[in-house]
Amino acid sequence: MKRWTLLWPAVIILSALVAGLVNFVIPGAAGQPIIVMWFLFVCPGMVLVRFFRLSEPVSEWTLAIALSLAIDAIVAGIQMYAGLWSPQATLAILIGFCLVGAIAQIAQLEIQKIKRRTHGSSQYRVS
Amino acid sequence: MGSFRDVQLSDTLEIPLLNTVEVRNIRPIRQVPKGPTPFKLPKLLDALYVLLPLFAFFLWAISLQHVPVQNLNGLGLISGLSPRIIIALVILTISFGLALQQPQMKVSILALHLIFVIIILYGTQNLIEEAPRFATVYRHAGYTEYIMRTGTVDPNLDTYFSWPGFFVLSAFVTQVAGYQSILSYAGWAPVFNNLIYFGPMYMIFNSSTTNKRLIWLGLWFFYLNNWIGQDYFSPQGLNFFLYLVIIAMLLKWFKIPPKAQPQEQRQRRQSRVRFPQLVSRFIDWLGTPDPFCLALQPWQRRALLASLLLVYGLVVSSHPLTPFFALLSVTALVVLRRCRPFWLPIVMAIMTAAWILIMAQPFLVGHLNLVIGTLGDFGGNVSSNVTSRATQGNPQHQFIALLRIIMSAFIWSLAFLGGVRRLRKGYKGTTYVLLAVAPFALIVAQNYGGEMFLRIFLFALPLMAFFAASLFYSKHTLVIRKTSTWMTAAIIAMSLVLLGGFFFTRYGNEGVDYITYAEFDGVQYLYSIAPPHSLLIAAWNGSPWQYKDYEKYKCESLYDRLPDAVIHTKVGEVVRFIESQGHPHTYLIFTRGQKAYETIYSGLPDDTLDRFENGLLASGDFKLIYRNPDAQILLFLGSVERHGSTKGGGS
Repeated sequence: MKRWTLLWPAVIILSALVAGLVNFVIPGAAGQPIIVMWFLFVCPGMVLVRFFRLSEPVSEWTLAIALSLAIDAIVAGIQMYAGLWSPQATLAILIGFCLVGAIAQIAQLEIQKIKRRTHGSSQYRVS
Repeated sequence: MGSFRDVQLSDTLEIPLLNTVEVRNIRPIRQVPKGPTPFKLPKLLDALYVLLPLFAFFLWAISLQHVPVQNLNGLGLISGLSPRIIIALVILTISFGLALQQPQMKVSILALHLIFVIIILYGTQNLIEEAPRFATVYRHAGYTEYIMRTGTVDPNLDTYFSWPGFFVLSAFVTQVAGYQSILSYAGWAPVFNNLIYFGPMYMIFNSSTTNKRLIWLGLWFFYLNNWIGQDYFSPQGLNFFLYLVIIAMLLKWFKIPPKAQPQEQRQRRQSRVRFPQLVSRFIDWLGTPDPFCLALQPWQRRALLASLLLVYGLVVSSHPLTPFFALLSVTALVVLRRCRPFWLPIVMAIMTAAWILIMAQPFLVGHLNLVIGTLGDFGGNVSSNVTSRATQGNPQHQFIALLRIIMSAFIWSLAFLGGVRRLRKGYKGTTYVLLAVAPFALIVAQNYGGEMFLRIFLFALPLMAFFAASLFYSKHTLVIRKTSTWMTAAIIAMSLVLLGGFFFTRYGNEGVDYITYAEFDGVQYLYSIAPPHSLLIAAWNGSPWQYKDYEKYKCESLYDRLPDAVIHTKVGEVVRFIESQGHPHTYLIFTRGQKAYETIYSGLPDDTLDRFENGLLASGDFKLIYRNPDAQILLFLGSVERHGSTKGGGS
């Protein structure tokens, strides 16, 4: 169970780092569009959805895609209307958001693990 | 409830209303006999239902190179489609019908069929045609390029800059993905959009029934009926997904639980006395509670509501029409006590109004008559959406338009019959009927440039497809012990009818919509020679232009401005129009798409634009500066005389 709960935070962290790599370090690398689109269309939403504990793959994926698109557009839109249009900065904000969210999720899992050990209860188990 | 996995026999239970009257009507559940499993799916059959779609996909893939898109007529892609592609889809359809009716249905096998049918039905055009299809996509490329280049929007430049959410997202994604233009990937939008529609539709159907066969057949019917073509690279294509997500979230997590029902029903019984029986039954039906109310923690509910409003924020900022469809459906669900919270439509209405009054004010100021001019004109709106569409164009296009009306009526009729059948079996499905009919209310409000009916069809389609599928699966049986051969044949036959219709209804405009490399080369050449502030004139509609430098050129179509001058070759009128515009340079462009448009959509003789072009050249006021098989560019010499020499040469 532990292994699966850590899967998404790991995927999100990895995706964020690779998206940053192909944009800021080696722009124009092969696979940049696929990596970036995967990150932008799934990760910002999934990092939120994992906190909701929905435990239903179809619902999670659906919500993750919709929220990702909304978050991407709203962050980029705010920057544009503020006269600060910069796709690279928007991407950096989203990478930061995902990293913070994923790390918070890992921390939450660790706290729950400690609580379970302390109380010997399974009521905090995260699916 | 409703996990996404292979379905065992016990999963085919469809739970009816949690109502004692309804429960009494359920027939006793037959026991599954023990011992050797008589209806265990042999592995050979499993392999067959994997191999059949794989074979169909392979057949389709090797047939793509044999489609002569250059010779399409008014019937569209079907006039040039390889028979092997049609055979591949027939095989896929038959295979799906058989796999669906297996006693032990495999979700993974059905998913494989669905993915293949989406790729084949919605990806074929992109693979066999040359440049990205559909002239409007190029204008959307222009909006996106403007944001990428300037980092801002100008609401006075175009309506869509008052609702720029989608184009801001496109500009951002295009730039960080390393593309120069959306044209690099826009052709795949129909496949992408239809793939993501799956999730929310599955959630919506799954919130109504646990009968997986019904869910998958509903999804299958949706994809065989989505001929509207709004899934191209456009705000509405994405917004339809967001609309479905909002509805799915409400139905999945925010239904009013049935436990509040007895008190409400008692109140209704008391007040019902005054009404005739029919009205009382209707009121009863409206008040029937929904099954499957998921219990959520308060914090989960708050988080999901915040997410819903975030998604709606993108809807409000990216499309003028979709917020009203969402608002209408959500209001219907909340007012009729299907979902909560009560304040949701109020907040959504405030968000919509705030965006229109603050951010879209420049549009409102100039187009108020356009917005409210057809309000309440039901007859006029229906006429502009249905009648006029069916009587325009050449005979082949009129046939396509008529077929679209027939196929729309057909799926609605199936849905009606399916709904009635469900009702007779004890499934009232009030919420889902409301969602199926709510979009129709907007025909009273607007004609939306003659496209409102198309949008209504699209927004009603998921539920219509679900009810149409209900015609085949409405029994209260716990298991299917022995699948009916007749039922399997009926499902396959119905799917083939819908597929046959789809070939015409979806691909019927392809003669106009496909874009050749040559005509896009012509447009690119025009942009390379025309100085900023030039007047660019298209002889008719259907050009792949405005894909860049949106604000630098004034673009006009003689279809909108002087159609009579084009039809009757009145060169003097065109010259006077150009001179009245006062631009330093004026170019006229003729493309293959324009000629297809004037023949197929406008129903004019196919040499109309050629005669017009010859008339312009014979007048001596215009000079041919570019020609390829699919595009010609003429320079208006009056601008050269007034402003001295200009760029541009022949090729």
